[in-house]
Amino acid sequence: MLLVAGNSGAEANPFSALQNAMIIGALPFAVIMVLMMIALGKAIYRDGLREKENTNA
Amino acid sequence: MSIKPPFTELRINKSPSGFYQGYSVPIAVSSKVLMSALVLWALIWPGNANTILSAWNGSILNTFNTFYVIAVGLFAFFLFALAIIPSAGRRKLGGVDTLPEFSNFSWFSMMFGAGLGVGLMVFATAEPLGLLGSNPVILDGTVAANSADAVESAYRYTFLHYGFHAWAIYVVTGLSLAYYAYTRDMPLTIRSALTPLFGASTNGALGNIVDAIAVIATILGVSVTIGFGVSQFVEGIYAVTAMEWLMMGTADAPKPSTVGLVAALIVIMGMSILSAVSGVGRGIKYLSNLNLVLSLILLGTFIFFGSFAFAMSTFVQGLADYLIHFASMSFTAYGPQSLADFSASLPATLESLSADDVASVYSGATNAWGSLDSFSASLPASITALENGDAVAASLYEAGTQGRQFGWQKGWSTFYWAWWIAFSPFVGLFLARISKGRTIREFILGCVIAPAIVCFLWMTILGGTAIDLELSNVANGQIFAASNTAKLFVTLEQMISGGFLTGITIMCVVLVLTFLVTSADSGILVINTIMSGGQQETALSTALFGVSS
Repeated sequence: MLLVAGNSGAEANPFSALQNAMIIGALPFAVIMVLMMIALGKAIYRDGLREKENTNA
Repeated sequence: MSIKPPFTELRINKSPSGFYQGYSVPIAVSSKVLMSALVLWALIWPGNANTILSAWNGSILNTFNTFYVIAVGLFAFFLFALAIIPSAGRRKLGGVDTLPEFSNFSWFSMMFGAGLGVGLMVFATAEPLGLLGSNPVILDGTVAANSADAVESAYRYTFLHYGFHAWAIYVVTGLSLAYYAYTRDMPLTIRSALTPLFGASTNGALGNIVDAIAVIATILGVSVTIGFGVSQFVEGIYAVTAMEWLMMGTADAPKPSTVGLVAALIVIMGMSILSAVSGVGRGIKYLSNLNLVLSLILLGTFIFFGSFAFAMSTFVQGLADYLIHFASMSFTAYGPQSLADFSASLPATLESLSADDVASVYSGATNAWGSLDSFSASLPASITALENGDAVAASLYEAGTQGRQFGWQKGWSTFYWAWWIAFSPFVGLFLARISKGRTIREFILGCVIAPAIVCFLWMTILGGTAIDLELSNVANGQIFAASNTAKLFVTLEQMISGGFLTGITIMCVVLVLTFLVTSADSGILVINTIMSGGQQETALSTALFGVSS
C-alpha cells in the first residue's frame, strides 16, 4: 500500500516514503538490539557463575 | 555470595476468545493502528507524507547516523568475542543432551533460503555498480569513479554491506531469542531477550512496547523488501513481454507504473495466501527448494557466460581488502557538515569569496551523488569568471568532502543497517527456530561467516560480470543507466541472447516471485508469532492484514 502511495507522487524514487519510514521505524528497534546485546552478555556471564557455584556446592 | 536464579516467569496476557483469540491484544492493536495510520497518511496526502518523512529522516540521521554505525560495529565484535571465549562459545542452545534438529546440510540450505532473498536478486548487480560510481574512497578523490581502479573499493563496501555485519545483526537477535527459549524455556519472543536487564517489568507495558516496536520494524522491513521485489518483478515481465502499460516515465529511464505495481502486488498477495493456506510445512518448504535450484541455475549461467575469471580475481582481492579494512570500516562514522563547517574548512586562498558565493556552492560540493565535473559545470558565473576558476572549483569541492561522505554513508551503509535491523526479528526468529541444539560457537560461525562468504561469491559472480561488461565498453553504459531493479535484466541482455535469454529472464521472474512469496509468507508467520506472545503455531485469521500492508 505504502509502495503504491509513494509511486503516485512525482518523486524520482518510487517508494522513498516507505524507505524513510523504515529507517525511522528501525531506530527504536536498534536501541532494543543494543539492550539485547548487553542482556545476552550478562545472561551468559551469570549462567557461567551459576554453574560454577552448583558444581562447587 | 550466591547469585539469584534468572527471572523466567514471563506471562503475556492473551485474549481468550473473539477475533484476537490467542493474541496479545495490546501488541496487535497498537501496531495495527500505527501501521494503518501510516498507510492512510501516505495514501491520502502522498506528497505531504513523503516530504515530512524525509525531513524527519534527515534530522534523525544527522544525530543518529553515528549511533547506527557504531552499534552495528559493536554487534559484530560482540559476536566474535562470544565465539572465541571458550566458556561462552561451547555453551549449548538447549540442554546438554539436546542434539541439533537438522543436519548440517539442511541447516545451511535453509539459512541461505532466508538470506539469499529478494535483496540479493536486486542488489547483486546494482550494489557493486552503484558503489563503483560512488564510495568514500572515490569521494575523497583517491580513485576515479567508474574506473578499473575503483573496483577494489567498490567491493570493499559491497562486502561491508552484505558481509559479517549484516549477518551479525540477524544473529544478535537470533541468538538472544534462541538462548532464552532453549536454555530457560521462555517464549520465543523479543521481550524475553530483555528479562536479564528489566526482570518482572517486562511482563507489563514495557514488554508490550518492546514487542510492538519489533512488529512495526518487521512490517516496514518486509515491506521495503517486497517493494524492491515487486519493482523487479514488473521490470522482468516487461523485459519478456514489452507490455507498455507496465511502465511509465521516459523511454530511456522507464520505471514501473502504478497500475503495473498494483497488478503485481495482487498476484503476489494471492499466491502468498494460497501458500499460507496450503500449510506452512508444505508451501514454504516446496518453494524454498525451488528457490535453491533456480538460484543455482542462474549462478551457473553467469559462471559459463559471464566474466568468471574476472569475478574470481575480484573475489580474492576484495576479500583480502575487506578483511584489512574490517575494523576501521566498522567504526568509521561520518558526521554532517553544515554550511558553517563548510565555510570554516575552506582554504585561506578562498577566504575572499563572498558569503553568498559560498552558500550557493555548498549543496553542490556536499552532494554525494555528483562529481567534480558536474560540480564545476554548476558553479555561478562569479566563480567561473575568476582567472584560476578550475583550481577554485577543485578546492571548493575538496572542502565539501566530509559532507559528501556523510551523505554517502547515510544513503548506503545506514540505509542497509536500518534495513537489516528492521529485518532482524524476521531472520533472527527463523535462525533461532532451526538452530536448537547447536552450540553458541557453531551458531555464530555458521550463521555469520558461512552465509557471508556465499553472499560475497554471489555478488562477485553476478556483479563482476556487469562491471566487466561496462569497463570493457561492451555494454556502453546501458547497465549504468538502468534502474536498480532493472540492472539484472539489462546485464543478462548484454551477456546472452535469443531464446536462451528469454528462458533465463522468465526464470529470474519466477525466482523473484517465489522469493517474494516466501518472504511475505514467513513475514506473516513471524509477526503472528510475536503478536501471539511466542506461540509457534498461529492462526491465519489476522494474516490478511499483514499481507495487505
